[in-house]
Amino acid sequence: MASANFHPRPNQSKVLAYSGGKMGVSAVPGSGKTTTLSALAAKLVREANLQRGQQILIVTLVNSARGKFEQSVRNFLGEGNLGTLYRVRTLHGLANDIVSERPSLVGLSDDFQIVDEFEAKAILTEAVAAWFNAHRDFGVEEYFSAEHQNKEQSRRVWRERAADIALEVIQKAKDFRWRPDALRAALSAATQSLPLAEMFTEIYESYERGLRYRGGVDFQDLIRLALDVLEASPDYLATLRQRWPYILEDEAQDSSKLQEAILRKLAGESGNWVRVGDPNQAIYETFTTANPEFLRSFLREPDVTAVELPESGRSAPRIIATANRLIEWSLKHPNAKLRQRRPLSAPFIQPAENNPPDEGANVKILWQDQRSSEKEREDVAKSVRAWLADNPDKTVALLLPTNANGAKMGELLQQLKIPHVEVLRTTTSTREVARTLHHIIDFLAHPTDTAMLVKAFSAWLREDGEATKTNDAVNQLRKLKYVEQFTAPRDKDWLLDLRGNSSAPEKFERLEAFRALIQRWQDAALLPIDQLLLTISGELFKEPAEFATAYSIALHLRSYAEDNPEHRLADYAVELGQIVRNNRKFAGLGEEDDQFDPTGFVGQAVVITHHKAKGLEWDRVYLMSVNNYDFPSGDPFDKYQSENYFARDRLNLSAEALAQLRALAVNEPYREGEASEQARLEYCSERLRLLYVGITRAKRELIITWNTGKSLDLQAAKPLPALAVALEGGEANASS
Amino acid sequence: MSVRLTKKQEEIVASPLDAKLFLRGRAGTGKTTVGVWRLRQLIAAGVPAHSILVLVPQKRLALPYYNEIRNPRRKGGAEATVATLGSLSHQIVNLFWPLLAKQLNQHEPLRRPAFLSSELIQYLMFKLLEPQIAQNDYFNSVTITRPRLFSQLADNLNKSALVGFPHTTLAQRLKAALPSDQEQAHIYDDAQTCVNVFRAYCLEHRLLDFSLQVSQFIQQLWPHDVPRAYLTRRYKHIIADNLEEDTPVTHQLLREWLPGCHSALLIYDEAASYRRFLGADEVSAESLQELCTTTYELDATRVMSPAVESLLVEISELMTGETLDAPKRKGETAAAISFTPASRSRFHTQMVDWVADTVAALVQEEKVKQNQIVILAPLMSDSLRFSLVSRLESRGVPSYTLRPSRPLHAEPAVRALITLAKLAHSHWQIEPQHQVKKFDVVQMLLSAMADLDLARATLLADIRFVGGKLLPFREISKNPEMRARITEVFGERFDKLVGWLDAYRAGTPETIDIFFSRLFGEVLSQKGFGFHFSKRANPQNAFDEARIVANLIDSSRSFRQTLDQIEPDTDTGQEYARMVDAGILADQYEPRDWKKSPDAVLIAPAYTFLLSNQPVEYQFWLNIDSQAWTRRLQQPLTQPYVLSRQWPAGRIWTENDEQQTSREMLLRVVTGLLKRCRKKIFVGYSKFDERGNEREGDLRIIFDLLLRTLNQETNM
Repeated sequence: MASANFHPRPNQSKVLAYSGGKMGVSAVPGSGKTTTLSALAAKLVREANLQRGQQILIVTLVNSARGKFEQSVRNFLGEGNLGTLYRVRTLHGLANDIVSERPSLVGLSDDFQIVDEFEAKAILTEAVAAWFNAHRDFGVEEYFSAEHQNKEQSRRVWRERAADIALEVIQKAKDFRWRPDALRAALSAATQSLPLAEMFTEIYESYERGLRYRGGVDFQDLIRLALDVLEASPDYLATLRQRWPYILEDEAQDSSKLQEAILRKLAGESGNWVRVGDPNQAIYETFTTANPEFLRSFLREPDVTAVELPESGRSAPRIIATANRLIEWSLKHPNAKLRQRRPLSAPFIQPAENNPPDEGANVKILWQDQRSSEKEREDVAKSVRAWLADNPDKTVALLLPTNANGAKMGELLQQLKIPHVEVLRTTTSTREVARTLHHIIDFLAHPTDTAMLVKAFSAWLREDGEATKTNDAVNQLRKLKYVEQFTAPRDKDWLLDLRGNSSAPEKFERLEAFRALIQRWQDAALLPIDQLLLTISGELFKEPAEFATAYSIALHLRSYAEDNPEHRLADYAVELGQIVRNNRKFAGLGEEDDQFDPTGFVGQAVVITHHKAKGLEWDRVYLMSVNNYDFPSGDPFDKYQSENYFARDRLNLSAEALAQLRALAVNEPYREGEASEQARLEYCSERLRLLYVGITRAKRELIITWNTGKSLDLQAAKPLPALAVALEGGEANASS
Repeated sequence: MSVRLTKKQEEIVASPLDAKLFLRGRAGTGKTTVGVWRLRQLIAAGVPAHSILVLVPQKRLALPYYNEIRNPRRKGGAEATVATLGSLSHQIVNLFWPLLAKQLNQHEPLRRPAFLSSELIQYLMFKLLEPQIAQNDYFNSVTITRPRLFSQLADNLNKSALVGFPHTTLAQRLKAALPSDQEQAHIYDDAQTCVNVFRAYCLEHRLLDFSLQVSQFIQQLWPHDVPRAYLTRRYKHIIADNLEEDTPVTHQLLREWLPGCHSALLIYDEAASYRRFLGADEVSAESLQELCTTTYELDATRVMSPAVESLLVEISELMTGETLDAPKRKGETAAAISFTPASRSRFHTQMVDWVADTVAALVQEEKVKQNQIVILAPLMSDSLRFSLVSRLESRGVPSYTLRPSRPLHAEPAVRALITLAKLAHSHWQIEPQHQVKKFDVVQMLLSAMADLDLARATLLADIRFVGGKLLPFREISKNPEMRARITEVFGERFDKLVGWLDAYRAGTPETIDIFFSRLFGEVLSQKGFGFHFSKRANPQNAFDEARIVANLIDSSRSFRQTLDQIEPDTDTGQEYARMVDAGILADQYEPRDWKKSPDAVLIAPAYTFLLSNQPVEYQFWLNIDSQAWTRRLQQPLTQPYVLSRQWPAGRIWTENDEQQTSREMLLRVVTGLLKRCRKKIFVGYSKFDERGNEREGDLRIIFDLLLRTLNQETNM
């Protein structure tokens, strides 16, 4: 929202009236919280009488939100010298800042590396493999069900999954600040047999050794270490409190315990701290130690001024009604244990003044239509195609539960030539940057290959904003027989000849410019890979987000090179190809997906996961795969992703492992099975909120579909019939 | 030296031959000039040159004295000695080793000791300590790479020697000043155990690392009548320059030496001490004033133009918040500073282009001498350096780089030579990941052969690198097209190289340093090859490579000589290559011909430039947003401030100290640079750094404020 058009509603004005102390804002989806918080930041910058070196600190959860805030605050302030008076950071970025300023306080050297998820996984896989090698006789068989005890296939799957489980367990252990040496000490003193704790403590230890040897820390460490730094040096904490007299926190419902602790420390007892969030949109509980209860209890603290932003101008009334109905349904959830947890709660969404109107059957909940997943994709694709033809100036998104589902949907749209963009594991723009770098590195690794040269040239032209297909120069370049006659002419200069023979030599100016660059990059091929990438990026890209992406790719390749000293340029090109093909994930410090803006993709279908869709909105939204596997409700027949089919008693091995570690860390008895049940309830709650998030992404139209899954026995998610029936004027089962 | 002296300078130079003088003043006031003239004056007055000792903290700072000693107008005969504490202690320990050996209870006092270069220290630590660290799980709460770990251990040992405390008290000192939780506290104990093990090993094998050499000199030989008499009787006149950059033990040495001297000139720079992280101590330096009969102070700058001086005052006031009693010439300050224009300051690349354009304009239009321009950044990454060098080169401006302490394997020239060494020694046992691959050959050819391009280098490697060997180009008979593509010129050069390698392989293998030396002398430095000085349009650009190769030869020689003594059965060549591959060895040598600066634009980290103490006309300051301008090096296992002599026992290092240090560092570096600037600084700024981040370092904030002040002044 542009600053000039911002006319705060009464509740928003309450937030803007803030001048100090602690405030908690509970904001429904579409309530304009980003705008309100940015306006507040701008107001504080102007009015808070900041001293030299002081800044308003704005903290967001993910990088896309950081970019949005940056822009929004700037809009309110206008250009000028005020840029140094506020700072927008993601929580990971903030932790990184804190640790980087005083690394030696926590045993880091100032050149410490942050290993990315891919590398962390590689270290972990090594640690897990070492564990299995050393424990041939003990494969935790006791956790296998009788029918799987002796199945080689099940054992193989277990070995493969152990790394994923270890990753989850270690990440959470770090979030709880359980250190491997303390766990080890507790283990040796333990009276209870805790086989999973033994296994994962050992893996945790060797994972940590692997990190240390590389001089690296992982993303979880950053948060933990930042808190360690603040606790280790009260003086430094005082410096930071002085530097950031006001802290504004967005998406507070998703902050983990540690993250909250960092901000609580930074704000201090009587500090100025504004937390804005929506407990109904907490969707990181199963990945991290985040819990919507943290924000709810903050709102109840005696010195906190609690404000609600219940009005939302985003969606048509029927969509709002559907979302509210989901809250009501969950308050009366048929499963008592879930009902007790209150997955969703008030405030209900109230329409503001200028919401889009309900037009036609704008909410369709197709709960009675049984479809296989292929059929679901096909039907949605058809529907999208028809809709796009009628609505070329509108936005539409297909929300799917996982990246893998999304990729399949993307493939189908590709086949059917339906214009679309995928915002999945790596965003399209990340992949675009990687693709361009890939083509250029690939050419440098194969500098005598004309086809590679053409690809590199085309990639460069794209970056330069020129279409390639019709480009004469590209066609000419395809005919080049010997690359060196272009890149390093000696007796014969292909380009000079070409220009000499052409009636329109200016057509080849781009080739001339490209040649100058390629010659420079060829010289740079002697540099280490990360430096080579930075050199190329500097001359290739024009957007800060692109530089940032290129930088995180460069960092990734640097650690890749350090771990694989036998690899050379051609291998790095292959690794870049992996990123392009979406096989590598970049996350955490979040140099990825800066500011995905749906309005930039009018007339195209956006394929995106529910998680990534948070904070975004589209005219029409399809919620797909809303079945009892992706959105279970605690029924006995529901199946859960995290429960391994080979485990006995439906045990969730990562939850049980974590519970065993907890037993060690806090010295309490371990009771088998409790954690698995808790995990199930937690998951059901979070998926309900995810459904709520999905519904509230829609501005004008909402379509919910489901499928019968691989096993063809899944059902529609439990709340769907209730939502459909309650839809006044909605068509409970019309075809799309 | 064609400089005219001021009256005051003349007065100091002409002091009586038995005067003991303390000369203080800020940078750029002509103190070293006085030192050099005093040297000349002493000799002219009949003082035997061999009785004069010029003592400096590092060799590079002695450049003006070397120039004077080499001055062709000077009469022949013995020369004054220029020394550092390191060279002096090396000489005396070597000379009086039998005496020392006896005191150290060595069984064979006549067997010579081995002096360890910094590479050898890293190498030995790696071999000796690595197994112990793994076995005992030392440093399990420290996240650090091995080369950094070992260099910090070595650093701790050096501090103990240079500051003058027992190395056995390191952990105790660090723990007392840097209290931390229990998890961290034990790392200092681990460090202590490691340095103890290393020290014991050195003593047992008569190996002298720098710290042992210095401490033995100071503690054993200097107090002993014979070596002391040797020194004090020989050197009766002492000129000690840049005292503030020297260490407490040097100051202690001077304190005991001066009373017996005939004359002395001690030169002290105020507000400098850039080598503090290496043990420099300005307080103990200044305390030597009391031993001198006369103190002089120089305060008028001989370097800065009035505009730069005025800029210095403005910036100092902004940084300290104090109003200085100094001339500020309103309106003139702006002439001494230029910022990247807004149109070119969005991206890092635009800023780098602006720097290159501006440098080219200075050189080509305003006829500024190339060596009067420096381009500085707090840290000089490979990509920044490459971007600058290639842009300057394309504008016809030669440049050279100084970046000490980088890993040797980061240098393409070194990698090329190591590849060639592996090809020439096929019997070496090389770990699979470091065996020569095709792309290594491509990179080697690019470095080794002048004008060769990536495409032709790849063609050559594709068809002539077979089974781990290079085959001659002339034997390509069936593929005339390929011959034509590669061209006969490159084919011929390639064959020269291959021929040389074949001939070498046929003979007895040489030691690694001789191998490098011959390869360089007989092939690579010849016309048509990569290290021939007329390789490019701007011959000076080969300077960096030539320097690096010279360093590689020196480093491998010292490695070989010492290792031969300790492990006579080891193949030193193979071991050397292994260490370079592992990133253990660093480029730490002064260039052999460091006394002659090339006529080219210098690209360097700001501190490296400061420490060379050579004023220039124009300075470019890049990446002013970087935190590295203000932040001290964070090292978990060592801490220069609390290991200094000035740190009171029992005092705890606080956040306040940390901030105080940051402010002081920034002030010192900024004022130090300005005092070494004659005409103007250019401030390179971009909104986004090369990583796409928006940063805001303290220096940027200062410049923001300055800009506002300047605007106000212009508006008045």
